[in-house]
Amino acid sequence: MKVLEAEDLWVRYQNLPVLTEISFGVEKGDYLGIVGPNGSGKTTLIRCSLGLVPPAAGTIRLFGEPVDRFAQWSKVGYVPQVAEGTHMGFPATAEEIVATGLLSTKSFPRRYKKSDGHAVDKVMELLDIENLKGKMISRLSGGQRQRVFLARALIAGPELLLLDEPSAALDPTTRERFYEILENLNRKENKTIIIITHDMGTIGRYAKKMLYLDRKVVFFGTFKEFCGSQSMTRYFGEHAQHMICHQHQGFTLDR
Amino acid sequence: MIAEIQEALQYGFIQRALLAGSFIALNCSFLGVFLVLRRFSLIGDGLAHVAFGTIGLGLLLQAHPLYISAPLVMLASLWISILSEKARIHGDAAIGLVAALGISTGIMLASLGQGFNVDLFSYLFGSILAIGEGEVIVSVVLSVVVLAVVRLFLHDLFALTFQEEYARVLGIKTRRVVNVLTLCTALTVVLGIRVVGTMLVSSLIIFPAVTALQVARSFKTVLLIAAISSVSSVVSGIFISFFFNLPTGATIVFVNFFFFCITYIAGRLRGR
Repeated sequence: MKVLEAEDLWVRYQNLPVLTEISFGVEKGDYLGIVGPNGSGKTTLIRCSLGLVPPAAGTIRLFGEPVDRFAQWSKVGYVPQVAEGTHMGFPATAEEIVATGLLSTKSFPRRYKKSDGHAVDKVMELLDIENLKGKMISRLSGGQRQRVFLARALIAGPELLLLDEPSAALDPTTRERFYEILENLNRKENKTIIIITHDMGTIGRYAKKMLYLDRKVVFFGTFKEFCGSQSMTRYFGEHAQHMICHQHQGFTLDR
Repeated sequence: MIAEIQEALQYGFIQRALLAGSFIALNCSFLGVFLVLRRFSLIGDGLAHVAFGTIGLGLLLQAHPLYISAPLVMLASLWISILSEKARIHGDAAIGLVAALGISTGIMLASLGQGFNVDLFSYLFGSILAIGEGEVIVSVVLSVVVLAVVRLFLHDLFALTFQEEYARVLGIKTRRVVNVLTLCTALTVVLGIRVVGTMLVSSLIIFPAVTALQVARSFKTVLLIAAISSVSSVVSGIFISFFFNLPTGATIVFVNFFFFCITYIAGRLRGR
């Protein structure tokens, strides 16, 4: 059973096709980087995978179940793209936000237990943000908020993590740390990770597979396949392909 | 002063006003926090306008206006939700549209059933001191129902208010929860009309939330401060209006404004 599977998926926005003929499958334990230019439909693909955008045609399945019938949401952790200023003045502490991640494990009427407090402490410690617990979410920096949202996505112990440009607001050091955490989750806990990023160089060092999207699937496969592909050399030009592949093959920044 | 308050408390109408008023104020404060943060607080105003029409209908049919209003305003609230979701009309426009229809209905009915105009206009500014015993019981029972529903959906409402899409990924049926919030608001608005009238009922929803937002730094404290300021505004408004022979609804609004000023200044001072 595939963790996520798209079959001839089409998505339209006001009758304009945003995604066309999308087919791919993600196996358990995969680490997939979704890359592509602005407006290529990356975020739409993730949102469609979560049932937030209805497909115009085709199917998308989460853990074998068509997404509109999927109900085991505690298996899925999601870190949405968050524009600056979205939460201006929202009166909630980081702790209150992280705890909402546990609501997927509860049925109506949803209530917190005492042990939920420990779970919040644990996941915030894991991400080095226990000092932010009582801070107001709207007073955090972009990078701090991003880690709070990652903690919220991780707290229920999901099998699949979907992240939409999580490193956009992070400084280089924090970004490296962020990717290390994801890599650990993937390697040690065999969690499936799907990440949208513009950061092609960095993602090449961590992700196992790549989906290059430009309204359709331009490339889907392992990085090795990507680097050896003649058609990708033609598509990107040798220089750009080399840039991605060179970094993937062991070029590391000083940490 | 204390002796005067004790004396006032002897009156049955003051006791009834305090009891019903406090429960309704509590409802308004909790719902208001979610509505204000969702930028949907004017729905209170819109539904109050609808209630103006349904009260007219009640008077025409010679039934108790509030009992006719409750189900009809609840239906209108769902209609606003449907309009703003399905008919490509923004929330504020949907509220404006339904509100105008409500007022027009009220005026139409008033001109048809000449003679109850005076009654209809008494609902514009509320008359909590004239609340009857039966109405107190209905108000308290319905308030407890709304409070219980809010408690049951509290965490769902919080998640939804913060990020609606994320709430869906948590498995929360967001449309259902929004409808619950809207229906509770409709019921609370109808009850609130008794306290401050159709013209001012949205203030009961908006003021306590906005007052709390000036100083609160967590969601729990927002709910707590909103509840305290809402109930104390209604209670002290009733006493002040009684002692100084002022209109109760307007007095309650001024006390609310006073609390808002205090937290606004406190918020600015602390922010420095």
